[in-house]
Amino acid sequence: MKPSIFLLSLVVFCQCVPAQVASSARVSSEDGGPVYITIDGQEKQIAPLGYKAWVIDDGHLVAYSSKGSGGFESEGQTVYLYNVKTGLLRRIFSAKFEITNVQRAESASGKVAYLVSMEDGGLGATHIAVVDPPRGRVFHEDSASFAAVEKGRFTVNWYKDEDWARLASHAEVQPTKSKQFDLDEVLKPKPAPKNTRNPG
Amino acid sequence: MWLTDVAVKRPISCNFTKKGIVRPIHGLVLHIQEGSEKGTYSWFNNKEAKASSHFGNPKAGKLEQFVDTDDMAWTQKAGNPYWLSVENEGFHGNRLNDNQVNNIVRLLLALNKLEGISLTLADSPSGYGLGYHSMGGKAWGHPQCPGKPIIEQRQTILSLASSSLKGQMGDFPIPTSNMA
Repeated sequence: MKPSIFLLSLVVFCQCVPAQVASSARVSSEDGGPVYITIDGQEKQIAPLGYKAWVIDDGHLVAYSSKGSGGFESEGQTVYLYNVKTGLLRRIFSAKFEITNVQRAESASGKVAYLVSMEDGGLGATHIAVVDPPRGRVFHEDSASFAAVEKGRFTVNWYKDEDWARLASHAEVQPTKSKQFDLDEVLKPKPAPKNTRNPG
Repeated sequence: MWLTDVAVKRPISCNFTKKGIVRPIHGLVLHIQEGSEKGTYSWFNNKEAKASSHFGNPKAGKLEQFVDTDDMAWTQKAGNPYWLSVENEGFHGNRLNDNQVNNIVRLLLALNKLEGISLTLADSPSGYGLGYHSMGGKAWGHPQCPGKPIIEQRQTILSLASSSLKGQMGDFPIPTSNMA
């Protein structure tokens, strides 16, 4: 076969093969159950137990929360990333709280991170973390929420302990502090702490 | 208020809101620790836990009080301001043993006398009496807590408390003093 014909065939083939992306993800029960994703209209189970699931990265990845350990009444959960194309599964984050949201964020230089929101079952406060896929959690704040996520940066709001009951009743509450973070700075590896022991 | 007639005073150092309880108190909420009394007390003393309960109910020994009943424990999110809470040692699906049942009967009698908490079943956040964590739905968190066996034991607990109140049983003296 001539190279030009081969290339033409390849282009036609690639256009005919549907992309392996998930259009939706769901968990069978609010109290936890099998996790399903939909690819080209076909539903497929990807895990026997999850609590919440999110389609991210334009459908190339699906994040879902599953049982973890620790925390109040053992409410701790774990986040897994499922690669739709390869079927590979990776655990990327564990928390002592319930996972309420996972979203993809990209830094100005193009690095990818996952912004994880959590909520505890005692006070009812929200907590946040930034996960660098190869390294795990690189940033976390308790009693805080993501107020805004834009290209290359995100804004965090903090609240007082006594604010959470009012927030639960949908009252308007002003954060005690608000700060914007540059994702490239957050993802930058931090130098290891110096050894403070006396070498002598 | 520390109910030292019915519970050992064992205050925790964090994870509650001073003077946060709203009276009249709706009632007492039953929880399951998913662990041990020792581990639960230790976790409630960790500032990162963001959780606590007014009482801890071990499988053996006296009830323990971790948080003053004037303060709001952090046990069931939206229900925190209006309800007192007791964490029972054990795991989801367990039944309360006799010691735990007796501890709760004594506690209910004390709360009936001191806070006017009714000896009735509460099955929703708007109710009054003896409730359970999962009755609050999503707004209260933890839809499996404390599990069906304990939810069903509430009727036995209330029957024992009512009998004691009517003077038909001598095992559960109604506390009269030393409510610090």
